[in-house]
Amino acid sequence: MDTMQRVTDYLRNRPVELKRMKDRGEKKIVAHFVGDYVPAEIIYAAGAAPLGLVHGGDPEAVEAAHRAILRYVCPFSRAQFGYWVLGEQRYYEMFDLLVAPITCQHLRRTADLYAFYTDLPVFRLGIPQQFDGELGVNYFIEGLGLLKERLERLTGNEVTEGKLREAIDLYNRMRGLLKKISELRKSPRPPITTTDFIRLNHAAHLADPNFMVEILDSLCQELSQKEGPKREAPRLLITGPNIAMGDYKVLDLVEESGGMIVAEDIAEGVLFYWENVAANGDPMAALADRYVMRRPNCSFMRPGMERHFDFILKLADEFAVDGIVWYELRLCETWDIEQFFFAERLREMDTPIPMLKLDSEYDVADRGPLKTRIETFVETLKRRA
Amino acid sequence: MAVAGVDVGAVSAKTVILDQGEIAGYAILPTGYDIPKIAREVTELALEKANLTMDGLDYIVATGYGRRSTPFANEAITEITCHARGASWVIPETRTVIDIGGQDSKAIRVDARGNVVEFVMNDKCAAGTGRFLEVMARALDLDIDEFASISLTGKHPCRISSVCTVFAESEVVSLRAEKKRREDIIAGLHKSVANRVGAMAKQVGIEDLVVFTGGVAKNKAVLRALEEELGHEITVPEEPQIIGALGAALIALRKGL
Amino acid sequence: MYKEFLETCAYTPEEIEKELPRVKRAFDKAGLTEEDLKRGRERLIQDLDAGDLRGMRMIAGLFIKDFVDLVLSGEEHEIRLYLQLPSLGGQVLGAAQLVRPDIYVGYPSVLGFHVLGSIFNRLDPLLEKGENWCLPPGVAHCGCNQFKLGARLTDMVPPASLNLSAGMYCDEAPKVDEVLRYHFHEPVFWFNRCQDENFDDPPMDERHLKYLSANVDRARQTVSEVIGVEVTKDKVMEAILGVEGCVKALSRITELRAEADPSPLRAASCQLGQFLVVSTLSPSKYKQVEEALTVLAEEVQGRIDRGEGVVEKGAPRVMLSYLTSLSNPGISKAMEDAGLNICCSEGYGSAAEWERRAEIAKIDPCDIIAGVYLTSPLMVKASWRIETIVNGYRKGNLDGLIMLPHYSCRVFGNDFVMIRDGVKKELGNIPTLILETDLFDPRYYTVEQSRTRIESFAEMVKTAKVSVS
Repeated sequence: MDTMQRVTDYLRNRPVELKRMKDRGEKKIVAHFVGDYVPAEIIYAAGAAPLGLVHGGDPEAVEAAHRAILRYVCPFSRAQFGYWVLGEQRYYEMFDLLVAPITCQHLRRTADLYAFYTDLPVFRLGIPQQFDGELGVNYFIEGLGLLKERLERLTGNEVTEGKLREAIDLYNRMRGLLKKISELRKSPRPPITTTDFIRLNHAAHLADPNFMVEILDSLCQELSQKEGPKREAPRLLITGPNIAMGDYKVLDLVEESGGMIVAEDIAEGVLFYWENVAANGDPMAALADRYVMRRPNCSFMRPGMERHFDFILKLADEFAVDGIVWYELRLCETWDIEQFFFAERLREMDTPIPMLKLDSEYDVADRGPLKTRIETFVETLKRRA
Repeated sequence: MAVAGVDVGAVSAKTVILDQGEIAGYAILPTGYDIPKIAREVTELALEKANLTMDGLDYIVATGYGRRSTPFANEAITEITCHARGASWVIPETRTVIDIGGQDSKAIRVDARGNVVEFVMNDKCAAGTGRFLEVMARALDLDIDEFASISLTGKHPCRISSVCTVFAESEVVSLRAEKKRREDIIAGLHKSVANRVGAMAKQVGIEDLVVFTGGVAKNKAVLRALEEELGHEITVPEEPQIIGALGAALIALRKGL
Repeated sequence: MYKEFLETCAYTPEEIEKELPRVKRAFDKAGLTEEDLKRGRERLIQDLDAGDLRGMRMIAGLFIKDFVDLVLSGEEHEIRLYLQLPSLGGQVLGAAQLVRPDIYVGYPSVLGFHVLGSIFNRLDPLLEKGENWCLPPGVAHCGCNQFKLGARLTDMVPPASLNLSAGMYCDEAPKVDEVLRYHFHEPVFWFNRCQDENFDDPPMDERHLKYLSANVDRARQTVSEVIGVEVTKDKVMEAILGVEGCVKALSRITELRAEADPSPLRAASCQLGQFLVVSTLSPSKYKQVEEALTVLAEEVQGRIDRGEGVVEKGAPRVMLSYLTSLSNPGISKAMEDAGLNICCSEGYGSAAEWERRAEIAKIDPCDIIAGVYLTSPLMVKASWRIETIVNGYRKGNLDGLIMLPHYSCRVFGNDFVMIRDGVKKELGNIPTLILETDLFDPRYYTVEQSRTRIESFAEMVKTAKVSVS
């Protein structure tokens, strides 16, 4: 059977499977926000099922949050609470604990809403917003210690160093495979589309990591032998805070317009798999080092602009892109500011890379304006080629 | 004793005369440009119908957008308080008032005595107000009454995605170009108004009995769309447009005593 | 017009003679005309009671003096250290000035909003400048940051030798401070703290205190490096203790206001005094601030003794959460016009709070600075804010609550629906109003539009009061 189809079938069944494990007392379900700031390894090592909350794109979910919050946080964070209000996405009702990384104010608000309006327990994990070195890393390690204790209390299982090591190895393998598949897109005929690749990342947040490793392994082998269709399409990199599961319109529109996305700098992508946790030494310190210091950054980090821009440009270079699509979620103030200076940086390059700026609040009305901009951008790139 | 409540809105001015606690007469006129003048005119018209004169009034309360430009009034009270009071007097079981006026809309929760418990208003944006319907009717070359009756025949309302009145107008144009049925477009527009007002109303919470006031309440298409949106039955008093002025008159009654 | 204006700001004739050239130079640089001075003077008199209250004139004058110092600091000082809104650490800068009296230390945004905003209503050009650059409309960027950049783009505020940035609070301000570094090449120090307190955690634990305190200490070291002299912990302590007098005088005013009927002082006037304390970073200015607040306190007492007030006696008592606009005294004035007594606010500043903090904080001045911060509910968690509002409401025997979300604030602007629900859960159906305005940018709203909501709320409150009695 087609591997992607296996993933689709698995995901369709996953909420049922999780619920069953939960009802039978086999596993606790521990949800967390994406962006790769919560080490899912610890959750796994405690014998719980890590569940990344990846859904988005629905205007109804955004609307539903408005009975609890005024408008001014990004649609993704509003939707994370809105899904609970609507009661339609089963993942959002079944977890036993929500681990909320306190990254930006938007997701912090969502954590507040869960804490205030629901009975679901919330554990906040403090994320240093600077590449702080010692002070920040130590604070994070303390936080991990508190998280470990909380998980132990929840599951009744001890998180031993051995279990943690095993979990780290497993996740390292998963990340390594994702990275390998990702790099296959460097070829002039990528064997997998970025849309499918991002879907794999979404799956990785929802699925059992053992299943994912198996799938990714077989997919990796499959794709290494494969060559994608020959296309006269400009190669694009997409960057932005989130491309949620369900928020595919930009990806689809780029494909429809004849563009080809080959790389992504998003929470449900590079931030998730680019770097691995060190295989030796104290596991908690290794986790802190990876999750706080050695990682691509989201724009809330301060300072972080130069490092972020360098990283995007490095990716752009490695993947030989002709253009960059900046897809930000409306009301995300830090991404908006970075966009201005990134555009400046691009213009100052010897060979400036063209960039298209898009934003969305998950409106229904989005498609038309987005389509026009994307089509124009792709046409321009085609003419340049 | 005789009192008057004068509600000068952005689009229409209304006066209600209460004599011995009963409605003795009322009048409605378009507001126009000169607020003090129209306030006086509509009050005189209502007085005529009530067989009274200005001197015979013991107390006058002004409300609405032009309440502070009604020089002959004894007091100015906001339309929120007045709509709450007026609706509750006409329908004592009122607990939620939704008022859609010419240029604003409000949702008010009231207690058993007609006092305001919570309110929210939209006066910054034309969407969800009478103005929206006016603009759209004009864009389709219809008057408001035809507009409403045609809407009721639309079986598959189009989804109008624009939040802005101006953009909705051009969206209507493209829907017509796409050969969508006129009644479906119009039903979609009414749904859009209900959607905006409904979202606002949910901020204060909906409690039965829901009463619909203001000029737009006479529009059966909006009423139906609003009922669907809120999932509650909605009651419309006999003369929804004068509820604000009635409330003002009731307050005048208390003050005049 | 200069003479009249400065007289309204309690400048003595000698001061006017001596300072006039500097004031003119600074006002020219800020783009202020004689017409602006005339209107500013009227605003001071009508909206802030500077005509009747010498204390208010003195407060306004101290703002003007510090503003002039800021604008001219480029030519008068070699080193300028700024606090960027809404950061902590002002006393670290104050201590720096104790060891190097020749440097300038200041709080540009707070000065800008109160002087160019509240007094002169001439913020628009600077806000637009920032807006037209990298903070466009449509994203709800905070006016605080638009001003900050506009002021630097026009060079009204000279470049900083060091900025202390609020990395421990919101995301936008520290990002814009990064722009100061990235584009203007100014050094920036970011405080760091993780706002990861769970709702049901006990108030301020050791871990959070230590982390923030370590950051404050780092700031102290960074400042020392920049000025080339060590800023010892003793000096920081000296700065902290030096401001006590100002805080006590301010507390006297807020306590008098909380109890008095009729309300003896406008909410905006009180807030101006509050922000004078916040914006005075130079220990050399502490004495004058204390004096101004003491005079005001005495005048307030005088009004109370004579039964004079800004609202009628028996007016409903209302709490304001969290602050009214820094750049427009008209909003709270509209509430007073509607007959409401804004007797207290959710914000920090009462003597009881300070005592509680002194209890919790340790001897180390960095601990004190961190501790004071971490015991302010607004800075920590929404559940605590609900608790504070509920306690304050009961204690103050209040009749209503007005919430003023700063519309673009991702930190506390959005919380108000939850706070309203939380407060009503404890207190029942008390009259509340969420009035969307803006703390900094007066273009976002009009007082007229707000008036209908304020008046409806006032009517609600008065009715509820009558039915209870």
